[in-house]
Amino acid sequence: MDTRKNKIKGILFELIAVALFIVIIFVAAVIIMR
Amino acid sequence: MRKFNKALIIILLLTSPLSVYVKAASLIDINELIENAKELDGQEITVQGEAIGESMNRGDYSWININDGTNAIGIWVKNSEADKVVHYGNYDNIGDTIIIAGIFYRDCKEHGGEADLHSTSLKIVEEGYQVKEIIASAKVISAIVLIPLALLSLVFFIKIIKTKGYSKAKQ
Amino acid sequence: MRKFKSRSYSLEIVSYYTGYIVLIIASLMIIPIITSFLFREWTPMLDFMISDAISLIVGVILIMIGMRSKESMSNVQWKHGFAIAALSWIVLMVLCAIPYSLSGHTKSFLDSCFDVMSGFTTTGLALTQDLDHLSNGLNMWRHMLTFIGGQGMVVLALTFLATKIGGAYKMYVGEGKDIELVPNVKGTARHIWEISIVYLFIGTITLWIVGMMIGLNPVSAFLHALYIFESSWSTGGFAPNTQNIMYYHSVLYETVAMVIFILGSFNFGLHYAIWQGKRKEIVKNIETQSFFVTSFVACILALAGLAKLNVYPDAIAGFRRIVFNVLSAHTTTGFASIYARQFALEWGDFGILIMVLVMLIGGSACSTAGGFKGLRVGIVLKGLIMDVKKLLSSERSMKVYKYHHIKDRILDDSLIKSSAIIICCYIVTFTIGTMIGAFYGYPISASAFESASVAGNVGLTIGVTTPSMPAGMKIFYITSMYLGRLEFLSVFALIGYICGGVKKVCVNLIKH
Repeated sequence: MDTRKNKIKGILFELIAVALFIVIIFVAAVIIMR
Repeated sequence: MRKFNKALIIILLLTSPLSVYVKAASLIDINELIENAKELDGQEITVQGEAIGESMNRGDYSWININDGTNAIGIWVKNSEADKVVHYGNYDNIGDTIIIAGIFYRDCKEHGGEADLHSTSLKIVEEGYQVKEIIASAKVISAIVLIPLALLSLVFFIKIIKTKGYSKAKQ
Repeated sequence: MRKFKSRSYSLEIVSYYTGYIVLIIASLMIIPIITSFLFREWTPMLDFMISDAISLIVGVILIMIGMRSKESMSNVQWKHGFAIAALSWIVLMVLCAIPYSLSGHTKSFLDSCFDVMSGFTTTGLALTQDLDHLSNGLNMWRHMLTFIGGQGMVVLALTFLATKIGGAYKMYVGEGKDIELVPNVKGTARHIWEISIVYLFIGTITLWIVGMMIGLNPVSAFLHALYIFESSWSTGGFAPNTQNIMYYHSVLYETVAMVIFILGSFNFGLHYAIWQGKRKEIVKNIETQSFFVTSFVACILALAGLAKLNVYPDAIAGFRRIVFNVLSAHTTTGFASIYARQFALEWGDFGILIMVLVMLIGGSACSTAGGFKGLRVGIVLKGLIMDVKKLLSSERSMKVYKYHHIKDRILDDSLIKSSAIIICCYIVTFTIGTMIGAFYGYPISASAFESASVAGNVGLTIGVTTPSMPAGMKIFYITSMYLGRLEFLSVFALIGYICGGVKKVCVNLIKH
């Protein structure tokens, strides 16, 4: 069960990391295209 | 002579709005529209194409995608107009052929910079229909010949594997 | 005489394993058959049944030819592994093209082969016509091909051929994936599948829900979700409609697809590490570092460059039309949120240049992405820094330089050399492709764009790829996609192997 917990945490972590990356780029887009 | 000139002037005056009307009604290919996107940005144009896929309702308006053989584009149209379209194209259907007059946007601000068409008028030119599927006899014959052959080779193959398996087990 | 015998033995080994891979793909053709059956598309169902039958027969023949080699399967050498990987892709290309041609949606068999190779290599350029009227069976097949191609057909074979594998690792490396998730290849293959299947569930369900939210009916929302997931995760870029991702007119749909394709472009080893709890890997890993830096810089440059030309009105448009396309290019996915011709007419040379660069850099190694791969770019750049440091430091210090990729590794010269050589191979392929385009009269920026898209297995098009394209270009593009996906070595091994074999036969004939 420990491995399953890690997997779920891992997936969530990846999704959040990519989402964060996208947000950062979006903020950059807002700054550049003001 | 004067009467003739008067008549000429009246005719010219009458036909000029006519020519403007004709301009708005002249169809343009979607591909041509994209090629001249910069010049036609914000202009009123007319396209004609087959409604494909399905309409996508977004509140009071809907998206209808049309394909005119050269390319496909999205039409942003009021629901009341969108409901006129009944048939949509896919594998076994030809969609309604519709003619749309509307404003073309190269990078529509309302829709995140998309190249789209905001409809001002939508008319059905030709109704769509369900396509009758005609199965080619050549395909049926090929299938009848090939499928048993394939199954035979599969059976043959499995037999060979089994005998090899036995000979290996013996060793 | 003995040498001659061992030569034909090798042929049999290659034939045997290729045959097995063919059989596996033949069994997968059941899926489009069932799909067409469910939607009462009788003609496509027949098309696939015919293709399936032919593939079965070919597979069995190939295995029969190689039957004798079964006894000594431990004799599978590196050259066999490469040759099997390379040959199976060609045989499968022809067999999988049959349903396309039977459907009537392609203008020639060459076009069908082009689309199949484009699918297998997860490129995403399409010569198939009238996508909007394609059968569900054929759409299911097209998108399946990218999903399978992404996983690598060899990994597919490894998963199923539990006991037979003697030369497993060699076939795996031949495919361009040289990272070991776990010490045995079978386990690695299974883990790669597990990661993909888990995301298949999550991604498809998410896209299904979003699809219904944006106005699709439940059945088509599900199909589109499946197709778009397969296309995103595999960084393929196929879509079920002519307008590609623009069909959906939805920033939410585009963004979900973007999350999936970014994740899909990551190294499977990275996913595995994170799933085991080593979450720091995402920032320590040289590939993610490389990707985050290059993609961020590319987005900034593209946004700035296009803002100067006033191409898009605001930040949302900039995000949807510029960032999306740049990331689609960098991960070598190939979804396009603008029309092909708009790249040529509205983006200007600077924008096109940025796109060419990111398409060539590509995604991560051991993933579904193409291009040089972030790993090589990172290694070569670090190698450069290392050389500069060596120059500046005193001659007596013996510093060992390292980089981190799943675990700490040494940055040694042979590694830098092999990375640089493969990068050169990509550049040469890209240059030849550009030259061929220019030779046939296409403008240089368009030729470069398309050639980068092909060599990097991206799939974005500036309008060059059409059925009326010269056959010479189609053939080169097929070759370039193939070379790019198999990362050259497999194909070189296959060619060298064939040439060596031919030479031997000629020499023997002359001797007698």
